[in-house]
Amino acid sequence: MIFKYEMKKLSGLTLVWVFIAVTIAFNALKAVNILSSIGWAELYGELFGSFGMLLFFECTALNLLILLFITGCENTSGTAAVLFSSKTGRRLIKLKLSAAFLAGSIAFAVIYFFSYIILFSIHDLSGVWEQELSLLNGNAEAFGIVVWENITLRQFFIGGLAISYILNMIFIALSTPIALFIRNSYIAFGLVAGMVVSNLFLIAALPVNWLFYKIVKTTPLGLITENTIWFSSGGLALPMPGFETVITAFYLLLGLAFVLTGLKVYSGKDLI
Amino acid sequence: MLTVKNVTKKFGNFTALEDINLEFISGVYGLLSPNGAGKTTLMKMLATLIFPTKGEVLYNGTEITALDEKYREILGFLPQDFGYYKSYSPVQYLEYLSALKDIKNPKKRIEELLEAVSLSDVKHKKMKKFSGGMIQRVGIAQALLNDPKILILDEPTAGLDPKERVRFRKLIESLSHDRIVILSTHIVSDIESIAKNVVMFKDHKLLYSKSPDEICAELGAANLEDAFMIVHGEESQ
Repeated sequence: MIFKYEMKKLSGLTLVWVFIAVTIAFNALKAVNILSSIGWAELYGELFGSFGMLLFFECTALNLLILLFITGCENTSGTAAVLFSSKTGRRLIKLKLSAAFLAGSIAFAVIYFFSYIILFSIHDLSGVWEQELSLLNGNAEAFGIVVWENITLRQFFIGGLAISYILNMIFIALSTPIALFIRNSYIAFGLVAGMVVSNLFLIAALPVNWLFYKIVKTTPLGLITENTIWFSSGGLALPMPGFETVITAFYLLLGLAFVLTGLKVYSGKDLI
Repeated sequence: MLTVKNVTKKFGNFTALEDINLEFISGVYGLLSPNGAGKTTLMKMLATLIFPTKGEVLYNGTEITALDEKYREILGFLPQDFGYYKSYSPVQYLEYLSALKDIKNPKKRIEELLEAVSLSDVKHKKMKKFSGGMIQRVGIAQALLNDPKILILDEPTAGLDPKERVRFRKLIESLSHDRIVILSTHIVSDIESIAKNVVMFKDHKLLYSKSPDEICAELGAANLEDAFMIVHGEESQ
């Protein structure tokens, strides 16, 4: 019942709907731009490279806004004292986090669905989905796509969507302690945005130290920037097949630990 | 019985309350002290929003944090800055709070409370159009939703006109016979006629927890307002 109210608060947030609409419109323009200027070979790089990354970052930003709004709205509206002193008030934060994850999943589905529908409706890929990836590429090295099993484009695309969704949820989970403990939503957003930008900078600008570069590449952001090498053994030049899948699972567990630890510490703190 | 036992609350290096010992049985208890004395801090601790740095708050011998939902089930709290959602009407807001207070079928109770605080005519209007006094009355209504055994009201008459304040006083008096009512105020007349005990703090420590007559007799004051000026006169100048 209370969960329904939290979802209602989110659905009434105009900013979320505006963000989704603007994002889909921007992605539509990007889709048209992609298809007008490049050929088949570059399409895959865009489809699974920059376009996929664009969608990921859009969803991540939106889901962060949703998380920070739902955890901070009581302090913003001044209702924290009344709500948290009620019988079930202490349970409220868990319901809020659940609402944030559900709303984030819905936002992910909406943005990805409409963005890709527009992309695929403009360019007809029928007959291509069932083809093996290695054959489609021609020159695998051009994309850095090296697969340890010859999967089809459809399988690679679905796998990529699944990884993107999981990484999105991991990002929300890792941001949870910040959302719980920094009561000012704007400062929390700035802090997370700063961490993301710093991480991207490290990934892009500091490859000189091999070990440091490899460590940075195994963060969730590093994974998403290397999304062409999922389910592969070649991307990080390491011998283990599916290495990226393993570290994604690791970050999923780490994210869960962050959420549970954050909640435990939060329950012992002054609420307002 | 609600017991505050050797409670100290510090925020960093600042001591808001030091070694407070109080007992609340039934009736109205008025917290009467200047701004910054620690009234709101004490009320937030009684409402389990913040935790004592030292000491404990007990209800019938058990710490209130250990009682958790069983304690908050019998608690009604009106904070000093009562917040609300601008797009909600009083009915919607009270329904939401009823869900949080785990009240089944709250419609009748909501109707009764809105009638008691004279908001029946505007119960479906969005609260963004309400005056400060109307918002405060919604706040009083929500504090009474679960028919609480412990009612904590922080500056409940702020924004109320004299007629509403009299009406509020009568409401509190009618409720106080079988419950603990703790209210803080700067308006002495709010509590002078209804408070069983007046609690005064000075320098973040407990000064008095006695009946108004006892305090006035001890200080040689004609009334509670004079007693307040005797205790805090230099601070307020």
